[in-house]
Amino acid sequence: MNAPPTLPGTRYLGRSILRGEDHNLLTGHGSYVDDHALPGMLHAAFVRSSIAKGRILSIDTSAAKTSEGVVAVFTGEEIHAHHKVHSYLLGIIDPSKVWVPRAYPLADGDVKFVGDPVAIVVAESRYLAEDAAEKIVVDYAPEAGVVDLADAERAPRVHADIVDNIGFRTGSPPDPELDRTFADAAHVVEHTIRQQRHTSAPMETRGIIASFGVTDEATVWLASQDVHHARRWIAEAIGFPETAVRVIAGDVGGGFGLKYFVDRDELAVVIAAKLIRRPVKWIEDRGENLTVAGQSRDEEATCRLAFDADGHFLAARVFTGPYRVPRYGWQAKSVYTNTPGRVAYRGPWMMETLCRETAMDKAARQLGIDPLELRRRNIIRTDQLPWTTANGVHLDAITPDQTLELAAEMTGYAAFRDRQAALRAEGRYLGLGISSYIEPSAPSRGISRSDVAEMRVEPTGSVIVHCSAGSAGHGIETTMRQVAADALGVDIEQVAVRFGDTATVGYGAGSGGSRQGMVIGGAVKVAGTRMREKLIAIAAKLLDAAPEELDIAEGVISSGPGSNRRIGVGEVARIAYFDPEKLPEGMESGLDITYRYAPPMMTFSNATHICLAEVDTDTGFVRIDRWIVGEDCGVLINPQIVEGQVAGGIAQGIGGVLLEHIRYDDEGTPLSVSFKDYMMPTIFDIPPIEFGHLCTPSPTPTGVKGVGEGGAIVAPAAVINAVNDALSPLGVWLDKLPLSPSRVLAAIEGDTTGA
Amino acid sequence: MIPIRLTLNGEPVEGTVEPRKTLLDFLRVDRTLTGAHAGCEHGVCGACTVIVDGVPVRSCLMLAVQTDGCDVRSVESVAASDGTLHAVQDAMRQEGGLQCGFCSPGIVMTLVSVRETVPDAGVDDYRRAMSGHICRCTGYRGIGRAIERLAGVRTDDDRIEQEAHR
Repeated sequence: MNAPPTLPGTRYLGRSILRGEDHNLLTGHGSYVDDHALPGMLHAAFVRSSIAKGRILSIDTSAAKTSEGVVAVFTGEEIHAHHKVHSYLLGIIDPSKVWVPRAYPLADGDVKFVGDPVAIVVAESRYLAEDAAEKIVVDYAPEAGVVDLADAERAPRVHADIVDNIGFRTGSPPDPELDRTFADAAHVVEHTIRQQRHTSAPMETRGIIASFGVTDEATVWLASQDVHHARRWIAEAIGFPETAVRVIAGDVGGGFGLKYFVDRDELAVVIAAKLIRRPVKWIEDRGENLTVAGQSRDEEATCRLAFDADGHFLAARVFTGPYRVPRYGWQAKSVYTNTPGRVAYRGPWMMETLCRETAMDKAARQLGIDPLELRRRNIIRTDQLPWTTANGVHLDAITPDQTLELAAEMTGYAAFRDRQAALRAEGRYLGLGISSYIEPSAPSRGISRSDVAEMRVEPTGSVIVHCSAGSAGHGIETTMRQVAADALGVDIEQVAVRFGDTATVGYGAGSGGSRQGMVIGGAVKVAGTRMREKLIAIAAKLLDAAPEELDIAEGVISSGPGSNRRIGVGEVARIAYFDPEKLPEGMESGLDITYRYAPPMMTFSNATHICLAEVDTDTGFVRIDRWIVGEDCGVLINPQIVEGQVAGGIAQGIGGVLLEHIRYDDEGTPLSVSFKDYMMPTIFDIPPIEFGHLCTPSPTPTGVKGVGEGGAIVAPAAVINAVNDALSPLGVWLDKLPLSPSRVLAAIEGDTTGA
Repeated sequence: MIPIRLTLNGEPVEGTVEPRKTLLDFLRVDRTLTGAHAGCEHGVCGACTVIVDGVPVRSCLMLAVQTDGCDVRSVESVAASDGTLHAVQDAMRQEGGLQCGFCSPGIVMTLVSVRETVPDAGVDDYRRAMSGHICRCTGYRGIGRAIERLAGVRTDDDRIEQEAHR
C-alpha cells in the first residue's frame, strides 16, 4: 500500500469517513423513484415492436381500451400532437456536423428496432396495464434492416431523413508529414480491435413519475443523474417554460451514463400524464432495460503506431494518451443500425484507451521489447512537464511514469516473469497485462461548464449546502460534508448536503464525466472559505479582535486554544439573522453564500493498472488472480470512496471483456433479454484489488482530480493484454471481444476468425 | 382475490391479494415496505431477497398467496428498533460494501440468513451465498471485506491500520 501524503490542517479531508448515505440504504429506507406513490397515481406499460424494421399498417387498441382498470391508451398519433420538439441537442451536439434523426416518443408510422415503443397503456395498476398492452394488435409490413455496424452504410435507411446511415464523420485534417513519418518509420504496428455491444445495466432500471397540477406545472420524480438537463429536456418536449417543471431525483440506483439522458419512453409518460391529469408511474422492467434502454460500446477501431529502431514513438493514428508522441492523427465515423441507440457509458476515452493499450502490447511483441520496457521508453516523465501533446493539450500536475513504476513495483514485475516462465514449463499459462492512461476528467465546457454550491449557516449554526451536482451512488453527500466541514471549521455532524431537486438549487451538470468531486467540491470549498471569512469578520467585531487573530475549530471561533476570546458559530449565526445591527458596518445580514465554480476545461488523472490472469487452455476459461492499481487522482477526499469508484469500474471492465454481451440474431431480435443471458460479473469474477496512490494536487480549490470513470476506462485493455500475454507461447493474438471461453478456446485451437 | 394471513416482521398481518401478485409487490405496494427492490424480476440479481420461514427467497419469484401462514422478514426488520445497525449492516457500512445501495437490502438479508443458520460461518460460506447477488457499483471489494469482518478474519484494527498506511 503506497501512502498518499497526509493533508496538513484538515480534520475530515483525506479520511475514509463512513458514509452518511448508508444508514437509510441498508435498512430499506432509501428513496428511489419506485418507492414513491402519489394519490391517484396510475401505472404505464408499453407496447413494443416485435420486428426490427417495418411500417405500421394498423394498431387496434379497442380491446385494450375496455380492459379492466385501463384509463387511457395512446399511440404515436395522440402523443406526438403534444410533443413540441424533435431533437434534443441541448448545445452538446453541433447540428451542422452530426446527422440526428427527428425523434418522437413513440413510433411514428414505422418501427426501427425490436422494442421500439408503439403505444402506451395507462391503468390503475402495472398488472392491469400489462394485461391491456397484451390485447393491442399491431400489424406490420416488415422490411429488411441492418444489425451489424459493418453493414450499415450499404443497408437501407434506418431513419427516413438520413440518407446513408452515417451519424457523423470527423477527424484530424490531412497531414502529409504524418504520412511521410509512417512511410519512413523503422517499425509500423497496425492493430484492429472489435468491441462487442454492452449495456450499463444499473441495478435500478430507468423510472419516472410524472404529475401535472390543474395549472400548467409539472413535478417529475426521475431516476436521473442530472435533474437540470432533464428539466430542460422535458420542458422543451411539452413546450413549458423551464421553471414550470420540477425534477426530483431521490436516491439513484446507479447510472453509469444511462441516466444522464431523458429517453423517449420517459417523454411518452410525461405527455400521457399531461393528457390524463393524473400522476403516471413507469418503472422499466429488466427485459426492457436490456433490450430498449440506451446501450453502449459496439465499436471497431484500427490504430497505427510508428516507432524508430529503438522503440521510441514517431507517430500514432490514435489518441496518444500518456505517451510522448510527436505527431498524430485520427478519423472516426458513427452509423445507425436497427438496434437501440447508444448512450454514454462509463467512460469517454474508453475505446481509444482500449485500442491504444492493446496496440502497445502488439507493438511490444512485434518489436521484441518487453511491454513494460516499451511503455517506459515512451511514457511522459514527470521531469518533462509541462508537456504539450501533439494535438496541443497542455499537461501538467500528472505522474504517468511514476504510476507505471508504482504498479510494476507493487506487482513484483520481475518475479512474476520468472514465475510465469517456470509455470509455462509445467503447462500453465499465466499472463500479465498492463494498461496506462491519462484521463481528461471533469470535462468542463458548454452545458457542463460549472456547478454551484449554495451554502447557508442556519440561525442555530447548522450548515446546509445545496449542490447542483448529484449522486448515483458516488457518496457525494459524505464527501461534500467533509469538504464543507473542513472549509468552515465545524463538526461534520453540523453539515447537511442536499442535491437532486431543481426546486432547491441552481443549474448544474449533475453526476457524470468524473466531475462531481472536482467541480462541486471546488464550489463547496470556495463557498465554505468565504463563509468562514464572514463568520470571522462578525466574530472579530463581537470579540473586539482583529480578524487575522481568529480561527474557527470545532465550531468555535477564537484566538487560539484556551483563549477566553471565543464565540460559537451558532451564536454568531443567531446574531447574523436576528440581531443584524451588531454586524460590521454595511455587512449583509444572514449567512448565505453562493459560489459557482467553473473549473479548468479538463483536469488530468493518470493511472497504470496491471492484471494478472491465468488461462485454462483446456476450457478457455480466464481466471484473474490479482489486480494492481497505481493511480494519481490528486487529493483523495475519502480514500474508501475513491477506491470503491475505481474497483467498481474495474469490475465493469472485467465484465465487459469476459462476460457481458448484448447479442442479436440476423433479424435484429435481441438474444440478451435477461440476466440469464446477459452475464453480469459476480463476486467470483473479481479478484482482490491492490491500490497504490500518488496524490499530485490539481490546480483547483481542492486539488482533486476526477476518478469516477477511470477504472472502467483503463481496465479492459489490462485484461486483454493479460490473456494475450498468457497465450503468447501458443502464438495466439485475440482482438475480438468478448473473450468468452469458446472464443479463447477457438483461438488456442488455431481459429482466429473470432467465432 | 385470496385472503392471506402471515407474520410480517414479527407482526400478524392480513391481506387480500390476487393470486398472481408477487410477494415483492405485496410487500412494496400493499404493505409499503419498499426495502426489497425489483432489480430483475426473474430471480437472478437478488435485490428482492427476504427471509421466509428462515430461508432467504426471491420475493419476485414467490407469490404472496404462498406466504399464507408463513413468517416473513424483510430488511426493515433487521436493525434494532433504536436504529442500531445489525452486524451485517454495520460491516457493509464500515467496509464500503455499498454505493448506490439498490442491491444492498437483498445482500443484507442473505448475509443475515447465513449468520443465523450456519454455525461459525466462514468467508467461503458467506461468499457462496453471494452467488445469488449482483452488485453493479462496488466491484464486490467492500462486500468481500464486510464478509471477512463477519467471518471474524478482519477487524476494526485492520481498517484503522489500512487508514494509517494511506
